[in-house]
Amino acid sequence: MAEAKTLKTTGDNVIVCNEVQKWYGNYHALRGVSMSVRSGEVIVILGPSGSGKSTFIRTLNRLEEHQGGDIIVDGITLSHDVRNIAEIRREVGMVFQQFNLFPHLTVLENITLAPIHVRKWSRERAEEVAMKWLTRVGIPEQADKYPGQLSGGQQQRVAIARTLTMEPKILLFDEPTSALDPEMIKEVLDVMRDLANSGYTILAVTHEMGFARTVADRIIFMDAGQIVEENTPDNFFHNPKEERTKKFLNQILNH
Amino acid sequence: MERVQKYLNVILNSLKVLIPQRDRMQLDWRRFLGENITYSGWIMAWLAILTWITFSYTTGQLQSAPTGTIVVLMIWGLTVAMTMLAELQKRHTDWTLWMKGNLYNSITNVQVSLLLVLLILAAFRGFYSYAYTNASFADAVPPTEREYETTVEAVAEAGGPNLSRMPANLEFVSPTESITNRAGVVVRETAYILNEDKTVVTVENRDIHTGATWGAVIDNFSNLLIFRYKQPNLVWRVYAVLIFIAVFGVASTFMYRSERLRSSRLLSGVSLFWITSPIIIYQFLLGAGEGGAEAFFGRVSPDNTLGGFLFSVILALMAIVISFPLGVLLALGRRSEVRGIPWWITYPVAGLGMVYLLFTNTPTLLEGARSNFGILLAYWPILIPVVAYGFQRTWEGNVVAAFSTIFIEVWRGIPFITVLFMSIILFPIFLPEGWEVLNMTRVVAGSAMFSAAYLAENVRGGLQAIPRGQYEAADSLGLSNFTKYRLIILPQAIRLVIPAIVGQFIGLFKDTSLVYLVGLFDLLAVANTIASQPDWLGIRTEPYIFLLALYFVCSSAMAWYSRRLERQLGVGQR
Ligand SMILES: Nc1ncnc2c1ncn2[C@@H]1O[C@H](COP(=O)(O)OP(=O)(O)O)[C@@H](O)[C@H]1O
Ligand SMILES: [Mg+2]
Repeated sequence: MAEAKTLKTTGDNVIVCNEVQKWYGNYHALRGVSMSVRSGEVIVILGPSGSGKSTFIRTLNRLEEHQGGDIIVDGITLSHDVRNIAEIRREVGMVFQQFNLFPHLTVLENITLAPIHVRKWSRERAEEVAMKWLTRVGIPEQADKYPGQLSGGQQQRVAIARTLTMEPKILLFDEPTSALDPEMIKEVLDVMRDLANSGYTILAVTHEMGFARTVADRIIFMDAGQIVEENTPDNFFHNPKEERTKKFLNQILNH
Repeated sequence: MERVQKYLNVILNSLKVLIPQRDRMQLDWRRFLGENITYSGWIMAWLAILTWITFSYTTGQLQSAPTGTIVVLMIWGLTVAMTMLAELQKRHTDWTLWMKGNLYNSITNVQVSLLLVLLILAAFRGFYSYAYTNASFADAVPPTEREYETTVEAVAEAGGPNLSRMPANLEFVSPTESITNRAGVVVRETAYILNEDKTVVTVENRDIHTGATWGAVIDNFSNLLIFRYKQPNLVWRVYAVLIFIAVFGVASTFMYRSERLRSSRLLSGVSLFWITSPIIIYQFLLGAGEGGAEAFFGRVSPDNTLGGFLFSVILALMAIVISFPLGVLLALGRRSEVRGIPWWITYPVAGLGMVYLLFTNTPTLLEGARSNFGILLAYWPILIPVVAYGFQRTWEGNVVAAFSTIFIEVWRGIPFITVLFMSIILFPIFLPEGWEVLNMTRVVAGSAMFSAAYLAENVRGGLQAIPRGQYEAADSLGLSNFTKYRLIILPQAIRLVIPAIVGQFIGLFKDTSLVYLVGLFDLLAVANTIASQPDWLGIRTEPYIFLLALYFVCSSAMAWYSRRLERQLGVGQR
């Protein structure tokens, strides 16, 4: 814990975004997003639905192309260059709302596929690391099952293990618990909390306010394709700077 | 044992039901009639007609085939009664419930069930007597024996009847020379006819069976199956292939089941071998080296040796294995989103091309033009910008997508028979002097392209069904495009369309018989030659029945295998 804290204060910027613009046809989805993330920082992105949270974190590993501004991840500038994209994707892992496991492969095959074909590890090594992560997320006994045979919470934990086996430096979470039944949310949040305490750089879009309050180093509030407020969790929830933030908090906390 | 007990219980229960228990039987006849018969004049008319048909057909069958019809009638009557009683008492067993749902759920269906069973029985009886009871399985009678002349003494010496007291010019049919078939029915007889002065006897061997002449098929069996490959230097190759497939097939089944070999390199090699095996087997059958069919392993040309079923199978399999990768590539190509050629390159190039051709090509064409239409045609380069505009508007300069789409649509727009005619008759005209391409190669290429176009559309359907999340997950893990498609997208997409693809391959296999129309020697062509063999003049039905059975067995096998494959690959999809 203490180790992680020092990392956060001294770490270099691993993500720098400058005036990022994104259009879907005529729709202006990102209107000049600027921010930076230091190594080891845990950032939670909040905002109403449709405010561009997903769009923003998906531009960071180029699932979406941005049309203006710069994005620098781990010292590499994102551009059309395929090599840069491949390099960045190796350092950035992503966990999706819908898990997106490969239904035709077993859990173990799901996890070892990328290490074997992208990192060029041997099968033995990939399986060893995969089992290590499956144990860490608490489901080593499910290795030979197919995703369709697991519960939602288990599937999401497999997805996290799949991402982590690639040994990324940065983790992106896009509403990882939104598709889960309430009783499964906790098991996934526990895993995420564990990762946050281990020094990973994390950007998470989530509606879990408890998680945001206790785990985040910084909260970013987005609305209408812009960053409205950046604040520490304490200030954000108890002492927000912006009117729009207050309105948003009112809505979600008094429902 | 358990089964027998179960069935006994069913029968006993049904019998219990048969014993009327008045308090339970509640039937409001008026309501029954109103709901089932008298509610509409049309229904009453229809039921009257149907009852009349059923009655007259059944009485007809009772006369022509009493035993079978009586048995059917008894079973029918009993089961109908059981079902009705069960329904009245509301005490259904599994059986009566099934019969109520599937056989006897209305007055119409009660009758149609009986009619259908009787019809199937009659059809089966007819076919049985044609194909077995009245059929001949004999080899052809050698022509010399079929009709020859001899003397009265010679006939008697050979153990025949004594003809000396027989009147001249009268036919005498001898029972002693008769031949019976496997069902014990006389299928051949010998007739003796004395000439005017009673010195010469004409002996005639006659086939008198009324059913099938299976000899035509039996005699031509190897012809139908392997055609010229029955030659000694070629037939061993066929056997070698069959033995190899059997042995290696069993071996690879074990390999696929082995836990240790799972997703190993060896197994990939085995799969690759099986996928390309039609081409390897084809080359092996053709042989190598000098000497042709005179030599043990001489190279022969497929065009004058390959024929019959062997030809059909090889043609279909080669077309399939070639069309598969081609079809997948076309499907991917049609969906590709590669960066297109920008309009500011396409339009100037098209413009310059038009101007250049208007100055070089149009004047020469104008000189040769003999009509107004010819003059108009000379200005064809004007179309180039039009095409360029369409290309930019439709595909935004994406050459890959444009090529795939046009290729697919053109090939899907041509009938298969036209493809065959083009490849056999038209194609050689365009070849440069002295070039020759085997008929076999041309038909395989034509069929493969044709099949690939349809396959591409099937695979595209599968690709469209894969959720975007699968692409995104693969991308976010850093997989290359090639790996993403090979290991994530295509396996899922193709699995979804296996039934459609196998259906298409079955169609292709059957459609190969169309090559008969362009003069190649497939199974159908060989079957048609039988009718012109001296021994089997005019016999077509029997070879066609054989063809039908063969095609049916092969197609069903493929369909069965596809269902099995689906089930196997469906693991984890639940
Ligand atoms: N592929 C797309 N095409 C067109 N519009 C999109 C697409 N993806 C998202 N949008 C639009 O962009 C806006 C931001 O979406 P998103 O980033 O998913 O919001 P959030 O994740 O904050 O709910 C929304 O208005 C959405 O309709
Ligand atoms: Mg979202």
